[in-house]
Amino acid sequence: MSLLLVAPLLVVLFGAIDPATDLWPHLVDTVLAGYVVNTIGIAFGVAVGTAILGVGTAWLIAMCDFPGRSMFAWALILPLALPGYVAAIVYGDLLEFAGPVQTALRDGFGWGKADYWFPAVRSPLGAIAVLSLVLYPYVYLLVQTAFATQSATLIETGRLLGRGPLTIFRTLAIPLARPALAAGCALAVMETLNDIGVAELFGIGTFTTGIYRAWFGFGDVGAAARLATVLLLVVLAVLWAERRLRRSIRYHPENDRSRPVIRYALRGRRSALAILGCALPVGLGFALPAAVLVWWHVRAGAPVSSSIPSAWRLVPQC
Amino acid sequence: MHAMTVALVLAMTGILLVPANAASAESVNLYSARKEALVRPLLDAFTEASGTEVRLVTAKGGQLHQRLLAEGENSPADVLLTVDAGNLWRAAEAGLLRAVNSAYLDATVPATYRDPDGRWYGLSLRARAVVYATERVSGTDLADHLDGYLELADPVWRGRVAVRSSNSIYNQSLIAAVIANYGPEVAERWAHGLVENFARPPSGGDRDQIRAVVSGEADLSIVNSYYYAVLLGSNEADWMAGTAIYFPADAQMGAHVNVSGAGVTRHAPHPDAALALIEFLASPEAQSLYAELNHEFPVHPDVAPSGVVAEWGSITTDDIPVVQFGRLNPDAVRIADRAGWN
Repeated sequence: MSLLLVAPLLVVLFGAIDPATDLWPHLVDTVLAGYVVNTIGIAFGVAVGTAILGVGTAWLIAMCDFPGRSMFAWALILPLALPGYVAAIVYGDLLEFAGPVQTALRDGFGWGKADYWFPAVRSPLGAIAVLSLVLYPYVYLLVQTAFATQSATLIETGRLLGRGPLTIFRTLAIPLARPALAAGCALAVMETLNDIGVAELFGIGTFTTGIYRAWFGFGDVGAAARLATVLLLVVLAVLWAERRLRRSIRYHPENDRSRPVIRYALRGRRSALAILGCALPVGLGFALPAAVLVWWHVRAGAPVSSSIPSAWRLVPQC
Repeated sequence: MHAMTVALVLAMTGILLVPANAASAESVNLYSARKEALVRPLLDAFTEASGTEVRLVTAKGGQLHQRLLAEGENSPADVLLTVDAGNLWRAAEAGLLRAVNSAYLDATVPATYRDPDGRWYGLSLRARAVVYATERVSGTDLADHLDGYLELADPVWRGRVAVRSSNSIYNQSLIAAVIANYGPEVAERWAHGLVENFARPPSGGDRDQIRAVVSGEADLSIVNSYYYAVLLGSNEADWMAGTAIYFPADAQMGAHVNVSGAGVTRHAPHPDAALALIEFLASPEAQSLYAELNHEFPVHPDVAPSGVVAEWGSITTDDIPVVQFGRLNPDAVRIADRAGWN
């Protein structure tokens, strides 16, 4: 069994020690630096993005009470069901220069091409945003569980000692949830490193698109394997960082006396903000892209019932 | 590559599994890089004419290539159908296709559009053309600054050209054609100049480049002719008003024409049926279907193009044999890398 798991790694390593063709120096001279910058930049951005979205929503669900909380508790997982490249197609289409948003802005204000600035969606920053929106549930799931169970007793002790929610969040909840946060971010970063759809659609050269180009474009399996080996080193670095974040502190899982934490009851403006804080990730990471897909399908004159396979037809064709 | 590596790749990808019924008599197995919607009507017509069933596998060109490599002599595939001479050339170079003797194909498909060794034949033609905004690119602009492809690198077009990524083989073959016509140094300078002229970093497919022109993000786009024709024939035709198509040509190089095509696989279990299928695809009946389904130019000299395409009039085409696009592909991709054409 473990041989099956290790076999792909062996293939890559065997391939990488084949004598280098003259393609490898060419890649090093031209595109490799861009692959490194883009890959690491996007991975780092997604780690930060998923941490913010995941921890924020996890705190609201685990520690606060507000209308719709139990519905959001599961709805916040939905973006995980949306493949990154599908979200990339939707947002690329909505937010590009020719898309409905910018077209409406130009028509509404009478702007021309040079009259305004709009962030380019098909860019590394766009990829970070799209991937963070569909991958934050990894962090949310793990950290929410950590908040709700592991640290309940300690957090309540903190409360009894008169600490406010912000102090508890900063000094107790976050340090205690650090292993869960590190694991969730590591999962999100792994998904990012192996993503090809978003990078390809947004025209960004990363290791994964580079491997594809070296293998299927140049037909050079050796160069592809060398690129893959570098990517594996990045993966190892991520795993090392994840372990390191857990080291030096010992985390004791609660014994059988553990029970759910008592939540802050939010009212008025605070509860509205909490609802907004949960609705935005669900809306942008799932509901809006799904609605746009259905809308496109109806616009094309097809019944909604057959809208699932249509996502495939949206992929750029030959 | 090490034999061990190959064996591991085979074992890993698990594609040694062959459909049990792959060897039955009245059928032919087709690996197609073209979408089922474009291929199925042609196959149905073939089945009706010959009584031979066609089993269809569709995937991306590169994936079918790797699958044929991995399956080796156990492959159930009889015919590989794919787009771009670059892909066909790669398949032939990798030993995936066999040479066939077909007087019909040799007489029907012009020599420019097939493999000199008879391993693959072009079945439809597409030109890589310029779609431009008539409001922002005047007739005199065109006459003064755009004859052939080289002038797409003219500084007058700075920040005005939309084109997709050089990951697309369509662009790789265009660069290869420029190398074949003008030599590598000119092609290299041209690619650098063209990148300078980009209206935005390359992204999306050919349709997206046309969208960029319509919306005003770019003034010129480089796209395959059938994308424009398909949009003109669709309910989006109104939206396309204000655009026109131009086929670059100068004294050296006419419009860059590429093929979609097919070849009989080396280990085809049904080579006769395979050849019959390819001959059918080159027949007038199938060629008319090709022309109407996707607005490509027929490869059969006697078959008329679709109405939309016929309106473009006669086009001066590049006469470099398309097999050159394959041979020059590695050089073309490197030029793109050096020019920063992502």
